[in-house]
Order: sequence, then structure tokens, then C-alpha cells
Amino acid sequence: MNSLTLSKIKLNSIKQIETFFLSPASPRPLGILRIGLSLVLLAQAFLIRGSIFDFFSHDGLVQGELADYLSTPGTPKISWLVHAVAGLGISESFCIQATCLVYVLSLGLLAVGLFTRTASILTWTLHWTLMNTGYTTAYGVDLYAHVFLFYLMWIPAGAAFSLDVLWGRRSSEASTPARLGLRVIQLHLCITYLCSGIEKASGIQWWNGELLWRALMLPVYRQWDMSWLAQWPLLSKLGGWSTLLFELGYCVFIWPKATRKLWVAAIVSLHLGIAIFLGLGLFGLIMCVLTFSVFGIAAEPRPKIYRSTALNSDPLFSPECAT
Amino acid sequence: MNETNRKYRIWIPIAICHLLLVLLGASYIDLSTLGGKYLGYYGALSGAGNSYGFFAPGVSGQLRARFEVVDRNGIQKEVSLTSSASHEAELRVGNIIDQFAGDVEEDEDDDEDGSAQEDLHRSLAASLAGTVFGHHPEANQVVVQFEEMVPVSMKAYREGTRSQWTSLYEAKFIHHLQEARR
Repeated sequence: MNSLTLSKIKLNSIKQIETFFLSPASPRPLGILRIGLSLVLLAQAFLIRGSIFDFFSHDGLVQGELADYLSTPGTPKISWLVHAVAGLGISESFCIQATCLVYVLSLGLLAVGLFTRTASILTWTLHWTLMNTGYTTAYGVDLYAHVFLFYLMWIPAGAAFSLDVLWGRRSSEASTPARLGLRVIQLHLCITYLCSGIEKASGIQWWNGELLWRALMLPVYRQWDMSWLAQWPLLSKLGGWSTLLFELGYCVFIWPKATRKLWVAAIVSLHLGIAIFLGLGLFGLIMCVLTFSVFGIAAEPRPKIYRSTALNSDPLFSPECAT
Repeated sequence: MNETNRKYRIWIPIAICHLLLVLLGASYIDLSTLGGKYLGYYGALSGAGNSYGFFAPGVSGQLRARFEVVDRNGIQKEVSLTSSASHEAELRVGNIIDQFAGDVEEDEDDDEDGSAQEDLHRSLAASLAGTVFGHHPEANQVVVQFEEMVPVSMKAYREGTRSQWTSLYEAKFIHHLQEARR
């Protein structure tokens, strides 16, 4: 192979990488991601509204120094705000309520896509602050929300299905930032499923059926009496094996058009199963939203069927569609 | 590739570096150990340092905390930690209880005599007892018990064995003001 051929291959590879990351994409998957994520987090806020002082106050379930010891040092917490405004006579409970209220309002703005960029920055900041404050209460749904709220700050998530588009504040054209953002999110999901699948496969419980059985029998996850499963160990084994197949195969089979729909359906079914049978509703929903939005919604730019003088050119929000 | 797209080229290596950090984080490599505190902070800030091993490699068991309140007349009653109505809130309380197990393992290397673990257990129990005292002003003392249930295997279940809660830790906390009033 001569140097000319090598440089041709190199150029081709670079071109393919650039096309993969930079060819314009529709922002619709990002819009669906934004709406789905916001709605799940709004539901979460509603469900824990009665426990905010238990989870976030200095005298809550995990108190003072212990809470600091168990959390990540140097990360923002509500106590920072409390100390900052203590001289003004503002109480901790007011700070907690105000933080939660602003967080819910910013989530609302994010969901409808109004002032989307500002709302995403505010939502990410407040979500991270609340997550760090109630660090010991956080679990999978919070970790994923934190990651994908971070991405929402950078990507054009308000460029589809948003009031910003409807009111002509921004364009819904296919764009390079939409593709770049979509690719990073897609690859991030592939990494999470691959690593999760490898770790699961390293344990015997996912192979011999004990995992599903044990999880379903633990009081914290038990929704129904599933003790009959002990008589059908093959069923439990099949559940474990199919989970391994879907997670380990995710980073391969989610890309080709021929298998993408099947894999999206499989992953959504898996997470709906987790939501229904293990009672992890929000976790199941957020995982469904992630895969469905970034792999289940077509990102290829639609052919232009009309020219609009306004910035708004998304057919879904066009005046023609409204009539 | 047009001019508009060219200006975004710089983001490709940035995105790849970020995804490499995501891969390292997901592989349980501590970003702060790897690249100092700033990389660690970036991992926490962006979520790149997260790991994703839910229900992996397996399920061990479940912890629970029980609280017994004794009032000044010596009457005992078992109470719950919160009056939360939602399953979501209960899951989060469960995560707090799980700190009892998680941090024991993490501290073992640095703490050969186990006193730091004992301190942590005591602090966690005291913190939870403090909440119970707050909810039950009549309480003179609160007894906190941590218990664990490890599910039996399918085979054992078929043979008639059933999972049981076993006690791991118990601590009694006395309200000094209430005690003084007696």
C-alpha cells in the first residue's frame, strides 16, 4: 500500500467521521428528549413534594455534618444559599421552598420550550444543587437526569416542538449542532448500556435466573406476589438472558436501520417492565424517554415543502398545519 | 462539508474526549485519581464520572431501619421514619438506609479497627433517631435497629425455606431533656 492510498484512506476516514458528527440533523429527537425528560422530572417533583424538608434540610433525615460527609465535596448545595442569605434573616425552609419552586418553574419552561436555553441552564443548576443536597437519597433516575440535563444546555433542544419555534424566536431547521448533540447523546447511551451489560454479565445471577427472582422478592421492589416464579426458573433465566442480550447488543444493533426499531422496542419494553414489576416507575420512564427520543425519532432532515419568511419553518408548527 | 459545518470541526475532538471520560467513569475509573481534582470535578459536573451498574453484578439483599419510641411512661410503640405518601419518596428513604452498608465496605481499607465504620453507623442511626424525636415530641428514648433480608434462592424457596430479616445493628438514644423532666 503506497503513501497515496494511505492518505486517501485517512482522508476518507476523516470525511466519514465529520459526516457522522456534523451532517445537519433535524432537532426533533432533541425536542422529544427535552419534553420527556422535563415531564419525568416534573412527575418526580410532584411525588416527593411532601418530603422536601426530610431530604434537603440541615435537620432532615441525614443531618448536618453527616450529610456533608456522605456527599461529593465542593459541589453546590442549598446550604450555600442558606449561608449567603443568612444575614438577611431568610430562613433555611424559605431557601428550600424557593429553590424547589424555581426548579419546578424552570422545568415547566423547559417542557414547553420557552426561553429554552436559559431554562435548561437553570434546571441543570438547580437539579444538581438539589441532588447534591439530598445526595444520599439520589439513585439512577437522578444520575441520568443530571447527565442529560447537562447535554440540554449545549444542544439546540428548543429548536423543535417548542414555544420558542412557534413564536419565531428560533429556527427549527436541520442543523449541525443538532447532529453533534444527537451523536454525543447516542454514543453516551451506547457506553452506558455496554458497561452496564458487561458488569451484569460478570455476575452469575443474571445467567442462572436468580437476579430477577431476588429482585422481585425484595420488599422494596415487590409489587405483586411473584413467588410462583420459583416453580418456573427457566422464565427467570430467559428474563436475565434477554436483558443481557438487549444491553450488550445495544451499541451494535441500535445503529442499523434493519434492527433499530426492534432494539428500541426491546429496550423500551425492558424499562417498562422494570417500571411495572419493580416499581421503579420514574427510572423506567426516563430510560424509555432516552432511547426512544434519540434513536426512535427520525433525525434526517425533512424535504422542504414550502418557504416561510419567518424563522419558523417546522411543518408541525406551520400555519398551514394549524389549519 | 460546507463552511458552516467546518466551524464545528473543533467540537469533534472535544466530544470524543468527553465520551472517553464517560467510558472511563462507566468503567469505575475515578476521574480525580486519573487526572486530578479538576477532572474529577468535571466528571461530577457533567456526569461523565458516573457508573451505571444498576442491579449489577447481582442483587445481595435489602436493608431496613426500624424505630421504637418509648415515652416517659415507658409505653413502647413502633413508628415509621416518614409519613411520605409516595413510593418514590420511600425509595429515596431506602437509599438513605442503604448508606449503612455501602460506606462500611468503602471504609474498610482505611480503617482496620473498624472504629470509623462504627462512628458512621452511630452517626447515621443518631441522625435518623433525631428525625424520629422531631416527629414524636413525647418520646423519651428511640431505639434504632438496622436489619437485613437476603432473599433465598429459587431452589431453597421450592424446598420451603423463606427469607428472614436479621438484625445487624441496634442503638438506643435517650432524650436528655425528657429524661431530666422525669
